[in-house]
Amino acid sequence: MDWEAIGVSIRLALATTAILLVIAVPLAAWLAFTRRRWAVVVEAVVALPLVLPPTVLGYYVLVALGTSSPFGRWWQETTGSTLAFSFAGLLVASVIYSMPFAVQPLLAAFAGVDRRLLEASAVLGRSRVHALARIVLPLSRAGLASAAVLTFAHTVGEFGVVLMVGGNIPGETRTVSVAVYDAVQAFDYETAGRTSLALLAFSLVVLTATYAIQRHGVGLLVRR
Amino acid sequence: MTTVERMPQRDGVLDVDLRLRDVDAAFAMGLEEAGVTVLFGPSGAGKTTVIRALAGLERIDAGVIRADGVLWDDGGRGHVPARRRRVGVLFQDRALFPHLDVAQNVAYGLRRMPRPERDRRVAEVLEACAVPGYERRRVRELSGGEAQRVALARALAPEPRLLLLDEPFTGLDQPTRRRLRVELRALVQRTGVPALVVTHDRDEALALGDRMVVLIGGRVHQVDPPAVVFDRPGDGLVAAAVGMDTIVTGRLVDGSPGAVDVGPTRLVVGTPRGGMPGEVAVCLRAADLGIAERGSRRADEATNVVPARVTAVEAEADLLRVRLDAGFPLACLLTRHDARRLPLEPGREVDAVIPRSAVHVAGIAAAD
Repeated sequence: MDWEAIGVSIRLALATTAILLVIAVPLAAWLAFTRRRWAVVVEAVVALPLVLPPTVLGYYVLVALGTSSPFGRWWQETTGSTLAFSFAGLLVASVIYSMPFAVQPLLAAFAGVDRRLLEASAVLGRSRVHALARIVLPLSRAGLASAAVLTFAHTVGEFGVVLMVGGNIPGETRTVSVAVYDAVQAFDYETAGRTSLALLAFSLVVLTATYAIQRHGVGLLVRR
Repeated sequence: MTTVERMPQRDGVLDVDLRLRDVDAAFAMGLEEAGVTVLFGPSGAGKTTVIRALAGLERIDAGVIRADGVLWDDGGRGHVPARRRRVGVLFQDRALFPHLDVAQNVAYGLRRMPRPERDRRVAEVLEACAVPGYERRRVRELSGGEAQRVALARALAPEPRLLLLDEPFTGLDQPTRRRLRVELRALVQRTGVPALVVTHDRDEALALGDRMVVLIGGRVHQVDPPAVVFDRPGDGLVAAAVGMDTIVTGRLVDGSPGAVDVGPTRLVVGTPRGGMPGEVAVCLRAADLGIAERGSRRADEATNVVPARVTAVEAEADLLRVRLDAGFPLACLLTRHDARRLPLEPGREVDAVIPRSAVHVAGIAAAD
């Protein structure tokens, strides 16, 4: 069993989830509460990874991360290393690829919060950021949990983007899905089977635990 | 009566002259003396729209809202956001934060206040709003009346300079309404915060208001103390809004402002109102009128006596509403005691007794 690949997958999924929640909360809040017409365009862009084949997305990310793009060059000048075929590059691709899985549950949850409460917050002299932290997020716990679980699960399961952007460097960009693919290509069905089973079991445990908390343990999360 | 001219900036006054969707309303209210201004009108008149514009929850299309000389909104670039207006709002549905307890709700608007001071302030306003010691209660567990009190406490906690209450008693039963009405009035007096209360309820308007702004169809039709609005509505629409039972079109008699012709019937008016040429609205309250047997009463200097025919008799809770045809439709409220001595079957000929003081002549409402 390729423990190294499992480690990479889990690290990648955790980091992606953490980064995405930081990005997706303000983004979803803006989308939920803005009155700007072009918000639909932003929404469409966020949803793009749902319809684009991973190879297409991977291709664009690869080009954007490469040293021929301004961003790739800036990264190389600042850090001294390239983004393509590195864990950092894989993380960037992963964040983009899983964006809709974080934004959409949050957007749905935020949109479900009674506008009247936000108006009450405003007339009580509080800023929107304060209302987001004190009112919207606490009332959107289920949406937050869904966003985190879906992002995590989706990242663990991604394959095409990883192959395009990360390549297959053990301990760096070689994730479980790629490891399984390699094993099958090498007719090593035994390793492929064991790694797959481990991934399956792990995913099932994580999902079950999360749904259990959502369904029965909300009391654990409620303040006092 | 929409001719409240655009006012220059004035200290201690809220000047409103706003246009927003179908609403085009102008009025002013003092910010320095505690008092209740009732924003009164039938549903759909635009009352909530006015409240929302004043709170800063909606931008006006045009016009101006100015508080204490500071421009709040001019429909253009000038805009003070809701959170900087220091306005306390009691929403129709309370809008308490469901995941916070009572103390957290009330303390929500208390910024940068040390913990002990905040706790003291919360206890103080809860006490003032007659829900003392409710700090740790959950919002879900509050009754309608308690939720209303807590919402009021939350609005008062940050010491607003203006309170806006949107139909504050909706969803409460009649006894609770009556009790809260009295409490609210006393509380507003005590705290010294001027309040604008939206209501379509006539009893509430009379019980709460020091002044009344009558909003109908998005326009301000009259600004007066409630008693004046109810006794002397400015026009036919206001008369209908305050529940005048009979509103008919009449014509002032030429050369005599003290008389008005309604169809073939001439009525003498108690307080002559000149200066209204042509058609006027003649308003009568059913409770002011009486019925007598045909020929038993003579008109005198206080009373009109008009021959009429009974068209219908409707029983109300304590009284009888008798509908008459006196050349124009007329409604009259009688006690059961008075009704017993009269022939009131439909079709019977009687006399309608109309005190001169009960005949109110108002302008025909501008049709805009």
